[in-house]
Amino acid sequence: MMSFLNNLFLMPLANSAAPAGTENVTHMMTELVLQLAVIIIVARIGGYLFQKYLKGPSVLGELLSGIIIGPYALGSLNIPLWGPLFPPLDSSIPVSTELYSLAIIASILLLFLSGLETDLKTFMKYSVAGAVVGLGGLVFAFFLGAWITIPFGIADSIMDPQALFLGTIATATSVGITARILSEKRKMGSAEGVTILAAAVFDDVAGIIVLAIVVGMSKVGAAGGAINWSHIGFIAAKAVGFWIFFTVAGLLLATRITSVLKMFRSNETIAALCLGLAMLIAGLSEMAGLAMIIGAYIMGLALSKTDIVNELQEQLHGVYNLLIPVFFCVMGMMVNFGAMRSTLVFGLVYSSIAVLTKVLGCGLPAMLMKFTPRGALRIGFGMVPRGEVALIVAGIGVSSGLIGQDVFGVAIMMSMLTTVIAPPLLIKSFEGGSGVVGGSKEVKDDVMSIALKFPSDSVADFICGRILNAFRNEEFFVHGLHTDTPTYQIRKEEMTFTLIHDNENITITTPVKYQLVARMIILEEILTLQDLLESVKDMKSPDSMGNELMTGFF
Amino acid sequence: MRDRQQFFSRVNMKLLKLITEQTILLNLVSTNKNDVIREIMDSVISGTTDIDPANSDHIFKELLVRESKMSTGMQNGIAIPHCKSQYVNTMHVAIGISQSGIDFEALDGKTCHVFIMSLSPINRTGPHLQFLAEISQILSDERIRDRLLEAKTNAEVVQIITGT
Repeated sequence: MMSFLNNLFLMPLANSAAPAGTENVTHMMTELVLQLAVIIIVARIGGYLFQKYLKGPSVLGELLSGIIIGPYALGSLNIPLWGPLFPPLDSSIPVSTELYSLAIIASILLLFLSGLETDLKTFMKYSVAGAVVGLGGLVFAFFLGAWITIPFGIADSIMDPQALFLGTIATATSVGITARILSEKRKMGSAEGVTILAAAVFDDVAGIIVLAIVVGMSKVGAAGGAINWSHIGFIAAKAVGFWIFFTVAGLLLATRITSVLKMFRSNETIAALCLGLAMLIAGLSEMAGLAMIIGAYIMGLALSKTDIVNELQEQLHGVYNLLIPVFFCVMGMMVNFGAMRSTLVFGLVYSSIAVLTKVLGCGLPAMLMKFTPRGALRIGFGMVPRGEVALIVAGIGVSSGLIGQDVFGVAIMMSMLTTVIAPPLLIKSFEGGSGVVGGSKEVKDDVMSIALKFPSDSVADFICGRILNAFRNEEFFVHGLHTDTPTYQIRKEEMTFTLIHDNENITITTPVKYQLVARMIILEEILTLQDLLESVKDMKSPDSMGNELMTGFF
Repeated sequence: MRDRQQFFSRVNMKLLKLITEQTILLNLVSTNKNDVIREIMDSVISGTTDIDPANSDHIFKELLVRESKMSTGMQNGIAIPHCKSQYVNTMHVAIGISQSGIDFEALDGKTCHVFIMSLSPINRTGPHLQFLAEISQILSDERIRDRLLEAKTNAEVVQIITGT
């Protein structure tokens, strides 16, 4: 469809000797750029409004924006001289391949960053409790999520691809949403906090393996014939094998990889190369028959314990902010309310089951792991949000043609409802005391503080900058945290110091065994200040400098 | 080597290679602070092509300037004279041992027996102070200090410090 606008604006670009396909490509690119323009603007504004006025996560605003402007709503309206901006397509994915590709790249970035956010050390410490809790939630959610399709006539048995997929979608847990709430409430270090996180990570891993098995089973089922259990066993072994091999290899090689990357001495280059590696592993995991997001997550997890993790998050923040709303918006565009109308009741029942299976399935095992009912409830609520993980799983199902638009709509509805319901419940449940039998057991390292007091805030501010620079010169990574009181995390390999600048005070928290390193770097910097004071004395008097600056003012 | 890993980070395991038999002075002859700094510094300069001997006075002055701000004589007979200098392109480390001990204006007032000198480039990043801190950490163990003072050969000193 060559429009008047296209001719008007793109004629100068067209080469008379261009091959016949050029105009098509040009038109396709123009369409993509216009679609992206609308998506970026609408999704960002939608997310902003949702956060500001409805006090919900911006992700929901982005999803709703997608639903509104998508091919099943406003997107199908004819724009004069152009046609529909998002024409509905006759395929399992109702948006263009180019747009969907961008959403996939965004999902890889999202899971890579989720992996980076995982605190490996705490995760290991609470991994047993987390695994038991995660497994409980997974089993409950999978079987009930799959079984509920039978009374509603959506599937004949739980071996039906639609039932298997709805079971898998119900198992997902969004680490990002839970983690964000925990860190805002400063509960990341609590026993419940780390157990939720460890369980959510276990859930992700196990859920991904379940997904691989389900995709394999569904493909066999869809192709007809008997289900080949040895083939499924092979898929399961490949999934578990790939996960374990790359996770172990990643964790063992992470420090070596980063020490090689550090030779570039440029944070921008390091971040770009790490993202490249994440995409490489993502591609490999796809070749191994798993979803690409697994590879990206493994890479993130491997790098999560290195000293460049904060730099990576900082560097990729911009790309994240730009691409992630596009992903959620495109996911929203795939919602076909027309197809969902017939399954609205089922969607609500399925969403309720999704909430209950996590609260009970994770809460009951938590009570076996020394948590009080209060603590168990916190963990249960923490596992409820499905967020992007359920959407990605559902996206895989719909793009491979294994689930229909109606089931996809149900998955989106469940993902949205659980994401809306869980945060207020989780926040409310964290009011009150400890949720551990016999009181709280916080994870604490053997640390000590070095406190320095200066004559004024501005002197402390100046010296704080100098000290941070001294650490940078010693090849530490310095990362400013977004807190009210200026706080910096200073990292190198397994060493982590925290520097807090509070008015005229500077406090450095250091693990006892590395205190000598911190003391020596700070001492040397403070001694060089003497040189600075001497050189300040040699400066021209402020008066004469002032006079020079003022000359010619009027 | 394995037992050293508790003191040295991976990056500084590489820097440990700077400590060789050529950079050890087992029997220092100097009897005062300035002389001992000069003696160890001269041995560093004579053992490398990286530093122009013509600049030795400049480097010596830089070492003394650092001492004038605050003595690098720590506690328990350890001193770590060091400086950053524009006349040095890579980090150099040397270890000197004085059986009789030298007054180095140490924090605890005791004489110093073990001297770790480091010269590092002024305009390059690197774990220079971290390396000194990690060596100091090793020498905070009294048994290791005693073994150093009893060492008979340079190879023995290298073995005690680096664990190889």
